[in-house]
Order: sequence, then structure tokens, then C-alpha cells
Amino acid sequence: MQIKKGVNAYFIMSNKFKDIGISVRFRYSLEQKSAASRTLLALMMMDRCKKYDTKKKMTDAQDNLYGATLGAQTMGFGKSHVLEIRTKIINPTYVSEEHSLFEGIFKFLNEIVFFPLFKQEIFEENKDILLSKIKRMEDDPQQYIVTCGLNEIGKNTSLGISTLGTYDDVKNLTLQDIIDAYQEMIDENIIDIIMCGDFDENEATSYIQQYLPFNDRIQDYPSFYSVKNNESEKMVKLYKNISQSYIMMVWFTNTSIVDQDYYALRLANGILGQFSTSFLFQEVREKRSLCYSIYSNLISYDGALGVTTGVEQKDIEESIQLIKEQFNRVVEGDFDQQLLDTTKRLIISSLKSSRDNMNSLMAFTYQNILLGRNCEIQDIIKCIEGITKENVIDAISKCTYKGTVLLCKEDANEQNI
Amino acid sequence: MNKIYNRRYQETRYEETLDNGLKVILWHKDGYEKSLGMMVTPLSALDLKQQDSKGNMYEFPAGIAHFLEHKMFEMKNGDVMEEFSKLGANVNAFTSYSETAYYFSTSNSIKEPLNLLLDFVQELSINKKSVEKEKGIIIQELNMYQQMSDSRLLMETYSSLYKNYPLKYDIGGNSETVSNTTLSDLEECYRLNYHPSRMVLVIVTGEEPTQVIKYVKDNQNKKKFPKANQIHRIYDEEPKDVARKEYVFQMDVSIPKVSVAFKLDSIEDIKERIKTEWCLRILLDTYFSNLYPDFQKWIDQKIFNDYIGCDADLGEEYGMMLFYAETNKIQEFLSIVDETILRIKIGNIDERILEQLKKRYFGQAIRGLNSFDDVAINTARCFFERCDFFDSMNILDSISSDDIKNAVKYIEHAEKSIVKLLPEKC
Repeated sequence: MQIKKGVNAYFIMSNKFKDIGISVRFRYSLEQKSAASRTLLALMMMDRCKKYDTKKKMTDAQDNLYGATLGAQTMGFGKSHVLEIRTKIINPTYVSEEHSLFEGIFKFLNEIVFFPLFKQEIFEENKDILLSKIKRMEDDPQQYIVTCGLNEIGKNTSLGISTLGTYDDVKNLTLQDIIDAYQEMIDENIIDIIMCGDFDENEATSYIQQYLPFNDRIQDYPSFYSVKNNESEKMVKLYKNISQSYIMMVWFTNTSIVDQDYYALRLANGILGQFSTSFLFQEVREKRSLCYSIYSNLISYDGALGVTTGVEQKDIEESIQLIKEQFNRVVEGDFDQQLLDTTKRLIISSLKSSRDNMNSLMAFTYQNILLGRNCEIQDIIKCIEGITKENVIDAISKCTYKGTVLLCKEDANEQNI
Repeated sequence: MNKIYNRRYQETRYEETLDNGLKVILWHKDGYEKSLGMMVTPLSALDLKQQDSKGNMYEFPAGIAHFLEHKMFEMKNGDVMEEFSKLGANVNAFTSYSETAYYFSTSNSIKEPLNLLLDFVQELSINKKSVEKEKGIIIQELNMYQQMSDSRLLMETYSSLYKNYPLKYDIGGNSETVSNTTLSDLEECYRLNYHPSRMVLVIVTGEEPTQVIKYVKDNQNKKKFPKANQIHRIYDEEPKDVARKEYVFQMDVSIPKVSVAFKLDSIEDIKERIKTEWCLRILLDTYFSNLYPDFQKWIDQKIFNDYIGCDADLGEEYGMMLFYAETNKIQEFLSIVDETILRIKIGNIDERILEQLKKRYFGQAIRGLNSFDDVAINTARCFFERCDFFDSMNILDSISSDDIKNAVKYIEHAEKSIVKLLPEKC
């Protein structure tokens, strides 16, 4: 439902859930500097606002709404950067003051979205928090290897941009950058309001008009694409004082999320390394005991595929070789109908179960918005059921290997060179 | 089959104890496509010494429950994970300090995966070779946790608190205890702890309850089990003082992390324990969160930022209160904890804040009912603790400021232990 030009509301009606969720998503283009300022903006908006100008007042307001949750985060969807503000309240039928609770959550959102508090000390505090978050992520090798892998292999593309912002970008931000980012967000970003739960649609519409009074906007920001760059295959070694070594290998899939063979690629990824039945799990973990966790992951909006694992330093070479071999097995069609069917069943079961989860339902609706289509989960299930072995082979054969990034302990011998 | 409807939370569940002693609890979630089945034994990482009703004693290496959890995934006719996958179901398991749980979830029919869950948990099929092979994988897993600064900090905190009590060990043990675990250790531990009369099966499903319970009965009626042997955990007496007053270790992190833990007495009575845990939680939320006016001041002074927390955890055999932070000002943080503990020990609470927190916790409890996993695991825990699922919320409702004042007696003489995790280059 269009509220204003460039501002739309979507209602997912369901009486399964105990709560009602509202997700307000602001879409902009993904750029390195604005990613940092928008992430910091999200943190500041969640921290305080003009009316609730202390953390205590914010907490009081949420507690009065029976512990309403409030979260703000930034996410990347290919070439676009989304700042999401999400809140959930318990369904008012569980309490006596039914009516005021539903309206109350809109009033609360109104304060958060339209009356942010931009003060130097709040800016400094949240900047510190964001810098620590980034450092903490770098301290966790499992997360850090993924960031490094995408940065290195996706250089000069959206894939290589961290949606959180980099340490240096955040460090250089000023309060004015945040105020500018906010103004841009309110005036220009494409806005989608997604609600899920059991509520009165007319009432919700009128509250949206009253409490989320955005203006028209015209600009659009594209999301999905199929990543390409001219760089040749890479092998990058990074060092950290850890006993285990981490590997990330990246392929460009040359398939965009709206292409016809996208779901065949999803199946190929499932056969390769998404599930415990996959080649990677079976060969690298179960048969050779080289690692505890290994998986492959489709980065759908960019058209990339990554494989990540942690192994002993001495096993790095063997593991990389083994991962490449497993990838080639899928390309060569070295899998039987049974594995294909199992993988289909697992993906379909997960699609079905997303109908039982509010966050997944909202995510699915948002995917429809970004892809400009209106398909049901059932349509996707049907599409997956019809995929053949040849489709899978064709889809994965289009992938190009782009490189490997290693995170390991500095080798004493190398140091001496 | 006993039907229990809770009007306040609008939830229905069914309970039945089968002839072989297996307790089945089914939550009916009308309208959901998804189903979850969870088979739970009270065998936990703390069960290193056990005694049966005849007085026989059994001793196991640390990490045995977790090792067994890994090995349960092997079946005579193949790999359990693969069998679940073929049915379009996901299977997983975890071992904690209070139980071992095996669970699947699916959005297809529940019948086949439910049978498979019962079959694989009720059969142990291992040999010497497969036990040896698993050791490598488990040690990799333990290494992974050792590298994660948060889990390492917590493990060292537990090790600092306890001299004898098995909480001092990591859930998975260590590479030595894993290497020393034998086939017969695992077989014996399984025999003692996986009898149906010792376990609970929790099901959360949108499918028709009578039909689902019938699947379980049909499965169980085909099987014969030896006579049940009562078993319970034995543990050495734990002194009141802590194992290490202060412990410092280093890792490749950017900012130091600190934990301050207080060792509390255990509380045997479950209702008293739940009540005390609520009271301590209310006090912690009052004096060590955004609700406390000085909290912002401490952030402004850069003593900590968002990596900050506290917890109260009371068990039948142990009790602790925990504060932790990422901080460059360790000394200042330690002083804040000391001041906070003094405030908490007085036990004063503003009535308005008490009501506000009750509202918050009620909302959280309602929302928690959306999660099949949370519902299942809490159901199992309540069953083993012999209390009702909603007891905890009912107890919360009844808590007064006098109760809170009274609860602080449990922390009066608590011993303190400090753990510091420092960056390597310092």
C-alpha cells in the first residue's frame, strides 16, 4: 500500500504470533563512507531521542509497553544499504490496556524516527561503541575471515564494502556527518514499512499516516547485481596470533538473484556445503576430521559464493585442495538423485518454516519488494521441485573461482626471511 | 493424556507418562506448519560421578556427556544426520551443565523424524574405531571455543570459582580427558542415563496431538528396555571459598575483558530458588543497568560501553552472581562492582521499579512462547526440576519488596573471584 511516493506499507496478517512487529526500512545506495555514518546513526537513534533523552527514560518507555523491543541495524542488499528500525510489542490481547498499547508503539516509533537527539556526547559514546564492535569482530577469527575474504576478493565492487563501515571510516566521522546522513534518510531514502501479526489493518494504516508522516520521494536505489571485476585469482595471507587457521574461498557466480537459474544455484550450494549431507561437511569434516565447522554460503544479492572453515595450520594446503575438489565434483555432476532430492527437501522445509517465523516473513516480503515481484513462498517451492541435475550443473559451471584468503599464525620461518 | 490449558498465556499442552516410564509433553501450536521434537536426558556435563540405587559408584572423565552426544549420531544403518536430511528435517543436539538434548525440526510430516529421533536416541551403536576417530573432531571443537574470548572468559571464571565442583571443567572436558575416554566409559554412561524412565520427550507442533502421541506409543510399544535403575549425581563437598581469587590470562584481543564472580550457596528447594533468582535479577536490573542513574556516568567516564552485563545463576548444587565488561579501566570497573554489590546487599527496591520490571518480564515471557526451541528446553528443565512451566512467572507475580529484602541473605557472605583477560601485546 502506497502511503506517499516512495513510502509503502505492507501488512502480513497472521494470528500465530504472540506479538506484533513493525519494521521500518530506509534504503540508500551502498557506499563506504555513508555505510559508516548510517550505522552510527542507527546506534544513536536507538540510544536516545529528544523526548526520552536518557537511557533510563528510553528503558522506562519500553517497559511501559511491556518490554517493547527496539533494534536498529544496517544491512547490505547488493548495491543498496538498508537502515532498519524494528520494534515488537506483545499482542495487546494479553493485557488489559489493549488499545493504548497498540497506539503506544506508534507514538514511541514517532519519537525515535522524527525526533532524534544529536548531541556531541551521544555521538562520542556511540562512536566508541561502534569502534569496539568492529574491533571485537576482528578479534573473532570466524567473523573476521569472512569480512577479510569479501574485502579482498570483492575489491572495487559493492561486495567488498563492509555494511558496518570500516574502523578508519568510523574514526573519521563527525557529528555533522551523522546529521547529514539522517537528513538524507528522512528526505530521500526509499521507505518500506512492514508489519506482521494479528492487528486491525485500518487502525494500523491510520497510525502509520499519523505517526510516520514521511514526504514524497522519487529516487530509487537498485539492490541486486552480479559482481564482476578484472582482478585475477588471488591468494592473500593475513596474520593473527591464533592457534587455528581460517580459510575463506570465493567464487563469483555470474548468476543474479532474479535469473532463472538462481534456484538451481541455491541447490548447487546446498549440495556443496550448506547442510550436513553436503560434500564439504562429509569429506572435509566427517571423512578426514580436518575441521569442526565448514560451510558454503551464497551471497545472493551480489552473485558470490564463499566457503569458510577453520583448520590446523599444517592442514591448510590439503584443505584448500579438498574444497576445490568438492566444488569440481558438483560441476562434474558427481552426485546422485538422492542427494539432489535430499537437498531439495531441506531447502523446501526451511522455506516452509519461514512462514512460522515473523522475522523470516518480514525478510521474505522485503525480498519481494527489492526484486519488484509478488511471489509466494509456495511459488518458490514449486520452482525448486522442478529443478533437474542438469540445471544444477549448468548453474554451478557458470561460477568463476576468484581467490582464497587465509588467516593464520605468523610462521616463524617466514618471519626470518 | 492430560490436557492443560493456560488462559493467561493462551497455550495448550498435553502430558502423558508411557508404560516404559518415558514422559511425553506436547505443546499444540495450532496453525503452525513447523514441528519440533526434543528428547532430553538430565545427564549433564556435571555428571562425572554417579551412584545407582544399589549403591554402585561410577566415575567418568570430564566431557563424557558431550562425547556421548557426538557418538549418538551414529546408527547401525548409517548416519543419523543424513537420515533426517532425507526426510527434509534438521537434527541437532547440545550438552550443557543441566542436560543433554537431541532435537529435530521440520515443516514436513512429524511422523518419520519423530520415529527416527526415538530410534537413534534409544540405541547406542559405537565401536572402538569410531570412538577413536571422534576424538579429533571433539578436540577441534574444544580448540574453537578456546579461541573465542567470551567463552574462554566464562570458562576461566567457572574454574576460578570452584575447587571440586565439576563446573570447573569445560562442558566438553579438555584434550586430555577426551583422549582418555574409552568405549566402555561411553557404553556405561549411556546405559545408566538414557533409559526412557529417566528421559523426557517434548514435542511442539501444529499437528493433531492425539495422532502425534500415538506415533510415540506405537514406536515405544515395539521396544523392550531393561529394568530401570535409579541413578543420581554424586559430588565432593565444595568449600565456601573460591579456587582462585584472581586469575589473569592473555589472548589476541584488542581490549581487556574482566569478570567478577561471587560464589553463592546452593538452594535446594526449587520454589525458593526460583524466587531468589528473580529477586537477584530485579536487584541487578535496578542497580546495574540503564535504570540506575550512575550507569550513564560510568559510560561517559569510558569505564565500559556496550559490552557489559551481569547475571545470577542458582542451581540445586551451586549458585553464582556474575559481572563482566570489556574495559580499559579495569580498576575503576572493579570498584563499581564492589559499590554495586554493597547496594544490592541492602536490598532496597522502589515499588515503581518493581512493577515496571514485572511488566517487562511478563512481555518477555509472552514473546518467549513464540520460540519452539525455548519452549521445548524450558519444558524439559521444568520437568526435571519437578515444577510447572508457568510456576516461574507465577512466583514473579507474587514477589514483594520484602521478598527482595529477604533474598539478599543469600549473597551476604559470598566470596569473590576476579578474572582478567588481557591483550597479548600489553
